[in-house]
Amino acid sequence: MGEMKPISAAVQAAVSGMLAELRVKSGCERIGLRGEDLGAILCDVAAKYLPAGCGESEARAFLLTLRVDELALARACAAGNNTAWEIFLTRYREKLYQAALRIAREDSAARELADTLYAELYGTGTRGGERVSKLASFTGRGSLEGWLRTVLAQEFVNRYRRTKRLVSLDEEGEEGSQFAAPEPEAMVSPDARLERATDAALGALSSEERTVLAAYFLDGRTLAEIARMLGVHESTISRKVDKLAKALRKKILSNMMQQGMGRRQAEEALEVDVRDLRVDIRRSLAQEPGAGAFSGKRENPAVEP
Amino acid sequence: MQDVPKFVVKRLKEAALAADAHPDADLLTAFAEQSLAGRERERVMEHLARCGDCRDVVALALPKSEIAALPSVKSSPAGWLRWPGLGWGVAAAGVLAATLVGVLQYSHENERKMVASNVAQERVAAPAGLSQPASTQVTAPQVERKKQGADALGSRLTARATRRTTAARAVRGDEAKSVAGYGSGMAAGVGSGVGGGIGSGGGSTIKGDAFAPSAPDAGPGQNTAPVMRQQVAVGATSEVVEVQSAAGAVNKESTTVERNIVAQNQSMLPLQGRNTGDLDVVKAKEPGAGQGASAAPIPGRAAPGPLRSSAALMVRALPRWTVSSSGVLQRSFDGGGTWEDMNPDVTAVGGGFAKAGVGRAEVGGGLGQAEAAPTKQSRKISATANAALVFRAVAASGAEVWAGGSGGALYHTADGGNSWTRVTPSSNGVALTGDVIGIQFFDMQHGTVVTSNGEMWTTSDSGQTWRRQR
Repeated sequence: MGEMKPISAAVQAAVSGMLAELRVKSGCERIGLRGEDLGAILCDVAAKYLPAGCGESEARAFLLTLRVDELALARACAAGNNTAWEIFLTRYREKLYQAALRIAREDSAARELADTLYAELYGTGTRGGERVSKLASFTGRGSLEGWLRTVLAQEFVNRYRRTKRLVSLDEEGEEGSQFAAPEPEAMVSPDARLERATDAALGALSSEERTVLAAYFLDGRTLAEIARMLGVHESTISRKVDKLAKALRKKILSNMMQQGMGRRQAEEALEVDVRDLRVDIRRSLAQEPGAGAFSGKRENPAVEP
Repeated sequence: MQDVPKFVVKRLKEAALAADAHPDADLLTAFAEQSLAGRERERVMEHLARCGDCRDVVALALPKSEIAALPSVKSSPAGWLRWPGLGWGVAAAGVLAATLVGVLQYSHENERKMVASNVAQERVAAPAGLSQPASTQVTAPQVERKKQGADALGSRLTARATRRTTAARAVRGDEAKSVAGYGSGMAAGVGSGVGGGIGSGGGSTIKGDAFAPSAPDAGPGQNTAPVMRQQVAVGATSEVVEVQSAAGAVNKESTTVERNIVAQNQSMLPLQGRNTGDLDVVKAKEPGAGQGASAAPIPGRAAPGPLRSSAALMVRALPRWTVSSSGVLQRSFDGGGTWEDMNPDVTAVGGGFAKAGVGRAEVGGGLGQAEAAPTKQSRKISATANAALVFRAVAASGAEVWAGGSGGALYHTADGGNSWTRVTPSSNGVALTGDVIGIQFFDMQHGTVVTSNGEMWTTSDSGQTWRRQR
């Protein structure tokens, strides 16, 4: 955890008040983690996620939601406890490879993905001559198994984006001269009123609604996938997408009409733009920001050798 | 599906450019597992709305789809079991079967007891060292009987082994045990009550000698001996009863009294009672061996159960609990090596019903039977039927377990997960509605439940009444 926030008195009080129970719940002693070690870990985790001025009861509620047993296991592994490693490997080794296969969808890539993560879990980088395991960054907010899948997925997305970016740059080198639109900005000149209306309509949506829209229309996720991402039923998402799409169109049109456009003009503005847009999407894809989405996530800069 | 104007897509995409620092893997995991409370969830959601990478990560990291597992269930021969109506039908059939078998068995039992007591009387009358020919003579008809009795016994045990009621379990478990002792005792020519009588009369060694040569499979016979001794050890009173029965006065009352006493003794030793209870379930669920063990019509197979209890069960007694990353409640009897899916929703019974002890025991038995036969399938069925219920938190202290999850689901068991009660905390007419994301019980009475909408519910009377804090 790179930025270690100061630990407030409320957090400390909550941790020390609950440590006895949490210790039992975590079974930390069996895997070589002392009670005070667990206390320190819990303080760090709470300080990382809780807002600065939170009260003790809020801190207690937070501690209750942690998966302390898995947190203890991960941290004991990171500390190099053999028993903990044995438990970890028995429990997660197979699952990790299966998850990698589901993510990469191809055997050799999956193996490579999982092996890379294994190396990181075991600890590749060193800090002050000591191995630093990626498991030291697990905080028990979700399940350890889920966390392993998430970390795999992040690694995969990173690589995928990296290769994709290389490919698209190459393409640009070859076809760039003949294809390059003189000035994309000039070509795509959506009516400012359309832009305003669209942004207003989107801005009025909740973050969940925008996530659903983006996942469905941008990422091409299936309704079932989105439903599972958000923990709701598929039919709920199906209805939601349908309703949102209709409502958006209506809202944008009426907003444009409020801005002084005729109905027909507004409808045309909404449709006309479609043809130009393809070019634009291409362009914005190519300019996808960020070098490796999660490279900033490699928590400890010192870890990098 | 309705489409949105492409311009909308464009603006959605452009909003992504402003995406800030990504939530860490822990937060994304907790988000996907619905474990984040209001404000935090909203922050992650806002990020997801704008960050395609993180959406990809969440989507890619989804656990293996349970939907994918569905087709195999459909194609399985027991696919029709998934129809809710038929499911209840099976449960009802199970109840009927259990009752029928019980009734039949009971009459058999009485019959056999008469025979056994006759035999016992003969033996008691005979000098201490039974002569070989005499015992063979005596056991001849019994060996025949053994098979027939054992068949019924086997199925009976199956029903019993998976029955899920504490109170009933203590009694039934013991009954099963005594029946097991009885059945194999039959093989050896010694009924459990009778055997106890002889044993307490100072003849437990005599008993062993007596049947060892006569019984064709000495194994089960030997196994029963300690079981019976255990029973004798349970209480002095039961010994008396058994002595009486040895004298030939085998009747309904005496066995009932004996059972009651044993049940009482067990309730005085709650841990021991639970041990045998848990073991029954473990046995029934042991893959491969499980079915064989519970259904095998060999009394000997049933007898070793309680035997193991003394040593191995100390470890097995209290299961470990966890919630899988896909929200399935699981327990483990081997320290986390293997996990067994639990579905409290199937076993949970509402308040009013719970009080009807007998009726409930029967339902439990019925379900148990349905589950014991095609274990895997029925588990899948219950898992899919209940796909909407996602567990997020579990707290266990001894056999007391609390588990909670989506839609305010909160379940409690006092017997290590064999029977569950659904609990709906409410205070001043307001009920708990959010997802339960954290549970803690400081002891049996005092506990706290945290929900996704930032509420904290506390109880100081084992969940009878609740107080809500924000």
